[in-house]
Amino acid sequence: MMDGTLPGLRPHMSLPLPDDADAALVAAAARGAVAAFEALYRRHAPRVLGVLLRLTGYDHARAEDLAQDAFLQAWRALPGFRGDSAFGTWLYRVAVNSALASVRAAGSRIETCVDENLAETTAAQAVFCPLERGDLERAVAGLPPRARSVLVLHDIEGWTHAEIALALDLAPGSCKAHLHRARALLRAQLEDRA
Amino acid sequence: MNNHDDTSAALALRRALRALADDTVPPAALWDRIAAQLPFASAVVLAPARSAWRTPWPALAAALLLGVGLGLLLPQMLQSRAPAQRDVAGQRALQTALLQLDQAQASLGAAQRVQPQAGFITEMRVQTALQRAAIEHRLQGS
Repeated sequence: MMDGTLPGLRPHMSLPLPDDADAALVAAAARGAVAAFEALYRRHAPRVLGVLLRLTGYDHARAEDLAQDAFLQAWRALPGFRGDSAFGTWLYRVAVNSALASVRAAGSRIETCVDENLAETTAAQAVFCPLERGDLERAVAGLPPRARSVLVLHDIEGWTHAEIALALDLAPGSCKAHLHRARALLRAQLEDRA
Repeated sequence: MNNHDDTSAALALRRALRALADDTVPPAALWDRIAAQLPFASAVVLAPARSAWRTPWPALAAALLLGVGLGLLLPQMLQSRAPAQRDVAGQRALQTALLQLDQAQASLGAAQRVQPQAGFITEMRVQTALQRAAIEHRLQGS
């Protein structure tokens, strides 16, 4: 398992470019240098925490717990990290994979959290108005976990349907349906707030 | 509403969502929590100090109970489920175990926020994370 990847991580995903500057830090941290690991943390924690906040619906305590777990997993796995992918990419995947664990376990059923008719009519009719960031964050946070995960990964993080389907154990077609549903729910929530 | 409005609305929403894709500066306490656990995270499983077990905090006790219970039961369950991985019932059991591990992890996280220096909690969190990774690996291999 210590080949630089962890179970459930897919090295083909299109994520950040390798950063050679991390290599020396990774090597030192793998030998137990906490200062080197802290430097890696300082470089990568903002991105990791950012995506975890979005995936958890801006639940800061949960996102920080997941970030903590990701860095501890990384610390443990560093001696076997071969650098097949950039450290930042690998860490990002560890963190996202942990955040998606409970979503995957909940099954692939499409969830709803607002009235279905309301969601469909407003999705079709709403003209999207400029939004305050806070409104949008609250609307994203109000989505059901699976819908939010698909929306965040596709529309914010830029993952492909194939990548999301793999990460969430969905068929690609089902992933598209989840995204369509998530956008409809999001628009319905935004309309409610308007 | 015409198609142009639909497209404009969709594009505006996509642009607004993309704008959420920024980094977040972590609170200073997060590194402190991680740093406090690094020596323990890299060590072989160690027995906790006797004094550490006397922490008078009910949630911590509940988290410990969950963690210990899962630590005892999951390996046995994983072994017994291995030959029947393709079995839907087996997958459901593993998925249920994942949810339970997440709950245990959340309880341990809450306990750790109260006792950030408690190394045995760290070790349990790491073990819980490893168990979860093992279950995920089995689920994805099935």
